[in-house]
This record gives sequence, C-alpha cells and structure tokens, in this order.
Amino acid sequence: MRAFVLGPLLRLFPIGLCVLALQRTVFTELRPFDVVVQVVLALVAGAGAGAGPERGAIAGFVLGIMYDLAVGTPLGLIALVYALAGFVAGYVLTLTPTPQWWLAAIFASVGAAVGETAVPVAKTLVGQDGWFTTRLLTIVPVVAVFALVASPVLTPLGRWCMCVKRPSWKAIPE
Amino acid sequence: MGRRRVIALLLLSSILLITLDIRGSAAIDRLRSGFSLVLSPFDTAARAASRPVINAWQGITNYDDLLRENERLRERIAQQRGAEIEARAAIIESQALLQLNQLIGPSNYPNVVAQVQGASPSNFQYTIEIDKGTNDGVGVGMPVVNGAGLVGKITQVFPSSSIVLLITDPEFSIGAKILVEQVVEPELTTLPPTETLPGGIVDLDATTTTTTPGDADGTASTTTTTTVAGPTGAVTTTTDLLTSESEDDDDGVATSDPDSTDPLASAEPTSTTLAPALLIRETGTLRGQGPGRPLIIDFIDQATTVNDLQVGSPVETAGGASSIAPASLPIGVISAVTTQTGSSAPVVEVEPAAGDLTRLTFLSVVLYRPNTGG
Repeated sequence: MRAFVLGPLLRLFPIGLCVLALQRTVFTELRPFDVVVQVVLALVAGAGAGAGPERGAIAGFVLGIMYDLAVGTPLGLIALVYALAGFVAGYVLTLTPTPQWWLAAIFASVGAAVGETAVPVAKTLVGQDGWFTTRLLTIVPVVAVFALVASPVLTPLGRWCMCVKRPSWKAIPE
Repeated sequence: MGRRRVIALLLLSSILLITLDIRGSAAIDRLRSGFSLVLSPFDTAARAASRPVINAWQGITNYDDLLRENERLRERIAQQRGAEIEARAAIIESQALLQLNQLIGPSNYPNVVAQVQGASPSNFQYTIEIDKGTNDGVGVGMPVVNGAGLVGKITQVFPSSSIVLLITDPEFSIGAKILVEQVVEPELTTLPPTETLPGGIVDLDATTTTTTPGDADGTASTTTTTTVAGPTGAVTTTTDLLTSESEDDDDGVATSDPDSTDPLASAEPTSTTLAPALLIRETGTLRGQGPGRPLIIDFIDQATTVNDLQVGSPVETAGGASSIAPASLPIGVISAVTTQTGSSAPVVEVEPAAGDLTRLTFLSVVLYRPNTGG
C-alpha cells in the first residue's frame, strides 16, 4: 500500500506543481476557440492510460487536490472528477497490457472528455449550477482533442510519475 | 489493492473534503494559503518563461482583432469626450450634494489599485488573480472595479494576492438598483400680465424679469426667469425677449409691455416648464450567466411591468447593510427586458459597463466593509 501511494506521490507532487504552473499561466492565455485547454487533466488521463485504472484514479485524485488548492474550487471536487477521468482512461490496460500509442491516446482523450463533462455535474451537485450551457459542446471536444494530441508526451510522463514500467516482451528461445 | 477499495477510498475522501470545505474549515484555508505560497515561485518562473510564447501566439491569433478593436476604441473615445465633460460636471454636482447632505458616495471609499496576474485555469469558473492581498488591506467580499464599473468581488485572499470572482460567473450575485428616468411631457404655462417696476424689474409670484439697457443696434433684452415647482424640485426656465430701442424710457431701460415689444416677442410672455426627470428606483438581484452572455436581474417587484423599464437605463449597486458593495457603484446599462414564463415579473438583461472582462489589466479594490451594525 505504501509503495502503491507514496512512491508516485513523491514524483507526482513536483511534476504536478510544474504542470499546474503552466496551466495557470501559459494555458490560460492560449485559448483555442476561447477554451482553456486542460493540461493537468491531460496528464491525469495520460497517467491513467499508461498505468491503469487504479493508479490513474490515484493520480487524478492527487493532481485534483492540488488543482483545488490552487484554483479555489471546493477541496475534493476536482479531485473526484479527475479521479474518474484517470480511471476511465486507464481502462485501456484492461483491453491490452501494451496498448499501441494511438489506442492509449484515444483512451486518454475519452478520459479527458469524461472528466471535463463531469466538472459541471459535480459543481451542480454541490449547488454551483448554471454551467450546463451550449458552450459545453465546444469545451469538451477542445479539451479531448488536446489530450489526444498531448498523449504521446503525457502518457510516458504519467507512467513515470506512477512508477510503472512499460512491460517488455521477450521471445521465448527455441 | 483491490480496484473497488481504491475507488471507494477516493470517493469517500473526496466527499469528506468537499463537505469540510463547504462548511468552512480553518485547516483547509491554511492549507490553501500554504499551497499558494509553494506554487508562487513556479507560477512566476512559468510566467517569465512563457511570455515570449504567449506574445507570439497572441500576435498570430489576435492581430486582426486588435486592429479592429483599436479603430473601434478610437471612434468611441472621440464620441465619449463630450459625454465625459458632462459626466464630470454631474459628478462634481453629485459630490457637492452628497457633501451638503453629509452622505457618503461611492468615490469616498478608500481603494487599492491592483494588477491582474492571471485568469482562472478552469472553463467552469470565471475568476482572476490580482497582486494585492491582506498585506494591503484587502479582505474577502470587497468589491472590485475598473474605471468603468463593477468587475467582481474578492472571494479569497492571501498575503500578497487575491482571487476575484467576476460578475459574469453564475455564482456571482449582488443587489442592484435600476434607475429609470421618465421624462414628463413639456407643459406650456401662460403667465399672467406682468407689471413693470422702476428699473425694469417685473415682480411676480415666482417670476423675475430683468431688463438690460439697449445696445448699439437699438435692441434691449428682457430676461424672464420663472421658477416652477416640478415633481423632482424647482425647475427654472429663462425666456429672452427682444425689445426695440424706440420704446425705451428716458433712462434707456426697456419695458416688457406686450404692445410695444418687437414682433419676435410680441406674444404674451410665456414660460415653458422644462421636462422634469422622474427617477424610478427598482431593485433586484443581479447575477452572471457566463462569458459572452449578459448579466441578468431578477426578483424584481411583481408590480413592475416591462413597460416601466427602459433599455439603456443605468444599473448600479443597491448598497445596504448586508450588501458587499456600497450603493451607487455603476454596473452597466439595461440591454433588454423580457418576462419569464409563468411570471409577470420582468427579467432584465444588463450589459456590464466594465467591458471585456477577459482583458483586464489594472483594477481597483474598494476597501469597503458593510456596516452590519450590532
């Protein structure tokens, strides 16, 4: 249990601080279609796609807590949502233990889309309504496409953060 | 570790944390403040490193928009020069009146100028971060304005920075008042015949006529000043009459005898009552609806009808003991008035005066604390 959580935590925290700083500076200014692309969410989805559903959920929870602390959303709200995103993205490893990069990218994209859609749902549950607008139809695809594009970089990074090595296969000598 | 146990643990932890935070926990506030300090150097480094990238991106994507906006703004500046002079005069008058009545106006509150550090990284929260915090006297709930009007309110404070919830955020709400100016139709009043007193002074109930000596072209001018009580106070009207020199008395002072005046002023001396402005004050709750969408005011008095409210009417903060902002901070102008299905009460759409809230640079925090008494 300790290795399952503490090892990744030591790597996730500094990486999370750097990515969060980028999210709060660069990615709030670069707004394709007036949407803030979610690099932290993309990292969570990448961690899920690279390390599996449980580790993806843990990465999502830790990075979500950091996001909540930095942004000022109710503590645990984004953590819950990002945990769900990491869990969904990690489902790719239940299909195959060594997914192709494009398959991992697709699952990372789906995980990010689920995560971004879940934010207004969670906000509504805690009484912060008014976010279900047609703008959601622009936000979710943009965030999902960004996760898809960034997946080749963020999936290996997420896998490293979660202390998981990509399995290597050796041919059985005849 | 089983998958179900992991998920259950994370879910329960999240719910526990959300509950604690929403109920208000000093430990979480301290944690948030500490995390802000830890994150601050990373933010600064990222901001410095990314500035060239951001400038290049904005140069590519916003160049045409900026050119168009520049032209539009130049045109608007030209239009507003005249209005500014008028507004300044009104402000001076308003301040003089407030001082006379020993009242506090919105400009009398101390404020702190702050620079915008960044916007919210979330698509579901419209906040900005400013570079002033508790060290500068900023506190939670204080209103934030720019030169044009209300921008938002402080929701979180740290020693050297604060988070401002923008008025466009659906969670933002504040008491607002609508000032509707109703112009009463001009009313023509015929004054009774006036009696000329020595020196050309015509005395009448509330009417004063002064006559000045004729000038070189053989005309003299008669000024009739009439004071008429209107619904919002006394209205003064001045009517100028021209009289020919041939009718002058020996001392060169003209009379206002209707028979002897110039044809221009041959009619009986009349006075037109200026249209008095009747100010209607409607109050309601103003809230945001997200970017690109107008603010709305609802919970207006049921007795108010759509016809009572006019597009273009100014909207200001209502003030009051429990309000976060002092009264009369400008918010915007009415852009549309509609009705809700199943309700006769109007819903008012308001265009914020503060302009484009995604491009704010400098703001002012009004150091106002509501006087809750007690």
